Amino acid sequence: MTDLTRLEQAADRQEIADLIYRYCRSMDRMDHEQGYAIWHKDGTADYGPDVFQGSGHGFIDWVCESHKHLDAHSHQVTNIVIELDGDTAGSEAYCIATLRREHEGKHTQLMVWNRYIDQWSKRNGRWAIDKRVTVIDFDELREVTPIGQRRLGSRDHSDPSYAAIKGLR
Amino acid sequence: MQGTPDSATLADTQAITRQIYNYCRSVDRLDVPLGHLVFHADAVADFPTYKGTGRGWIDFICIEHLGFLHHSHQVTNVLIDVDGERAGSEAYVIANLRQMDGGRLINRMFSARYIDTWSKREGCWAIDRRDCVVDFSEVREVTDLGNDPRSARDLADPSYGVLQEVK
Repeated sequence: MTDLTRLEQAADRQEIADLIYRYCRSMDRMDHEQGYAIWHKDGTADYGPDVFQGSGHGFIDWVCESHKHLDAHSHQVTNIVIELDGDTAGSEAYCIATLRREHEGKHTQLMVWNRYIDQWSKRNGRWAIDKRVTVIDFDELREVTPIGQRRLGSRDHSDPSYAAIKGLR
Repeated sequence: MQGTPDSATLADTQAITRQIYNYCRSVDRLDVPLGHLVFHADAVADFPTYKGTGRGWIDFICIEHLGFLHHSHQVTNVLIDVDGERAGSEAYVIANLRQMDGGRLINRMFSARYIDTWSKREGCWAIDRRDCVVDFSEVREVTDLGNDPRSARDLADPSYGVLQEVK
């Protein structure tokens, strides 16, 4: 393998991983524009019949609306396996999503151990998802006790992260 | 790593990271052939509950995990030092495992580290020695919302539809 091929493949992997992280950021900051950029226009999202099945962009609209009923959430991706095949790729990304909701003074936390299973293509130099299947391995619902009020993140562009990470290239 | 890494070192680092994830994938999907590819044939594994060959550990754990309902091995920090055809790595992992115990749903959590020495033989990186160190653990009863029937511990899992390099 030539140096150039190695570097190009490393760059492709980096870009796909970056998009998976940006997906999480779009969820957690409820950033529609960033979320749309993860999918091609005709890309699909299958989060199961009980959650959402439809277009990628439609999923972003749906989830940003449904997350409004929550108080805070964090989608943390760990293992990412990416297989490249020219201008297409497949990936599996493990995630732990934690979602909090306060109701009548009680804080309820849902944790979901899931995997994002994605098919990608590079069109006009841009990687994006053609098809995502999200599989839930297991979850947990419980009441939790938060620790006071620290500096809390915001679910919009006032979050401090936007001073450092503005958007897609 | 000192100085400017070249493209070969970058590729080596990515290949080793992939193997660390392949290990998680093999134990979570109970994929024995995939797990065997993570260890060289003469590799050893030293876990709190097992000392023996690396591939023997895969055989053991894939049977032992049948006693659980679901599990997920999630690797966070990965540090890799590559030195030619040899390498060392430390990977932090949080493993969660679910089982029923007398009608109660139990979650076992381990916060651990995989400490590995690697060699590249015939172009393939695999482990020569793995030490698994558990930093802490927790067992407790949990309440869940239900199961996603698409999550499978065999080749029916949807991930096999998009990952084909290693089978």
